Amino acid sequence: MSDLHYLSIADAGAAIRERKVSSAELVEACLTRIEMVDGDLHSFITVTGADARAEAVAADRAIAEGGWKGPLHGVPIALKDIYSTAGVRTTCHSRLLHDNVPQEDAETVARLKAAGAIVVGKLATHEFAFGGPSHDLPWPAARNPWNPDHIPAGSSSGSGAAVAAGLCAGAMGSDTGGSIRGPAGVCGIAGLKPSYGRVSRRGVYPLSWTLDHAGPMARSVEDCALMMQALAGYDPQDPASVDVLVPDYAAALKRPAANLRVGYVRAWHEGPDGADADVCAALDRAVVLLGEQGMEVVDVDLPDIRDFHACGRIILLAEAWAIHRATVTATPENYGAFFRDRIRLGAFISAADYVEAVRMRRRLTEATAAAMEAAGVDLLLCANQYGPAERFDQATRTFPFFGKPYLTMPFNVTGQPALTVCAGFAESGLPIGIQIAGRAFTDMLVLHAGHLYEQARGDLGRHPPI
Amino acid sequence: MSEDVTLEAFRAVAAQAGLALDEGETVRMHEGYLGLQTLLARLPVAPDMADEPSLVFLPTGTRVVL
Repeated sequence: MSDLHYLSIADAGAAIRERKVSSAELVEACLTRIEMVDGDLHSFITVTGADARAEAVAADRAIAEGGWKGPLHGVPIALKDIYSTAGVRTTCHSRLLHDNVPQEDAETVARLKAAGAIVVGKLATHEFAFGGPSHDLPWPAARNPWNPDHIPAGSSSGSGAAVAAGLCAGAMGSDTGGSIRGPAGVCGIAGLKPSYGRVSRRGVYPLSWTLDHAGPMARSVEDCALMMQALAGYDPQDPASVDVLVPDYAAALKRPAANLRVGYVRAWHEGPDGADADVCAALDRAVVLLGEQGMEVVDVDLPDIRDFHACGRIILLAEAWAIHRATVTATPENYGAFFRDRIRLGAFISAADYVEAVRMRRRLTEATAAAMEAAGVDLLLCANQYGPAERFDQATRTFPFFGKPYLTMPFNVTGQPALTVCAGFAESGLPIGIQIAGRAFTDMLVLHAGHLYEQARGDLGRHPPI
Repeated sequence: MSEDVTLEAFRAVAAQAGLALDEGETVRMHEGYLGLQTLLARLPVAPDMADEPSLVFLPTGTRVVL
């Protein structure tokens, strides 16, 4: 079996179960790949090679003895370094937590381990999932494997880069304004921001409690679905967790698309200051492909993207300032300049501003639901990004969020599930992603539509030239 | 109008917010402050009195089931 490091979770899980390949071989292939290419990519902060090798041997033994746990058993994954890991340092890519070693795993990490996944390491992020790409931190910023002169976006930068480059089969990201979907889009992989309350956030370092989502990133939608099977479920210790039946995500992908209507949100990306021609063409092509899969695509009007952006950004800045104020004020020298400057904007948001923003959030959420209802659509199709990943030498703005509104922020505001899936490549060879979103807690439907689209588009086997 | 806050006036705003900034930070944060005003300007000016925040308090032990 060649290129073990690029095996999908689905194929790797099946091969391990059938004893065609061992977990030890797969883990070794990823560790070798990390050794070979991560010196240029910088996607890992910590590689847990010894632990991973030992756990892989144990997984192989358990499977040989009839103890197969499921499709993640023995599969190498990695974690954005804001996920707490018992006994393994969790730095948040910050000098402040350089030697922080948690005593407990995050709930999501515990669930992945219980499903048999093997953690091969901790991944680069923007500092505290907010400040980056920075060049004044103890570890370098992750680079895009499709072209290392370009950023992998953020804040789940290492997750996007490592998955795309075949350094692990899947990874965990987090998404407060698009931090799973941005890197997924510009790294040419899939990433799901689940419904708010669907996946536990406990043990994931918070940026903004009411906007933070934990979710999977992988090289296919099917692999995201397999990870969701382990991740989804009620956590009584996460105040935002909701007790909703966990469906069989992978089984749902095999169904035909029956009577699905998709609302195409053009206004967010069209216009003179909108997305570039490659993105517009990818979306138009997606409309055709979804139609060929039996879905009916109609135009739908949602609230102004600038309102979602402002609402989400104000809430994010206010909550993030509440989280970091004490330490940023006491020891500003412990942070990179991007994080320090950005986080301090929260000091200028009044209590009344914050409350008005969360009032606005309810209005936007209700207006989005009403628009979907009026149009009779189950899903939404919209742009994920305005163009391919920018170059590092262009990513120098202290406050990038005062430029174009983030196309991913609406679904952090509404809490709806939103999936980014690769939609092709620009002329430069850099990937382009699109978003498919659904009503709250229809994550399964979103994954199903994304899988059908991905299968129709093809090209899943294309990998970065690294 | 806060959009018109000059760099000099911003120094007082930053001090009032409890921020101790050096000169370079002051210039950058002034730019950020002005950018923030464009976001704040999109907040509803006179929302309905019954327009409640999206935050809902749940007494400890409450289990939300859908």
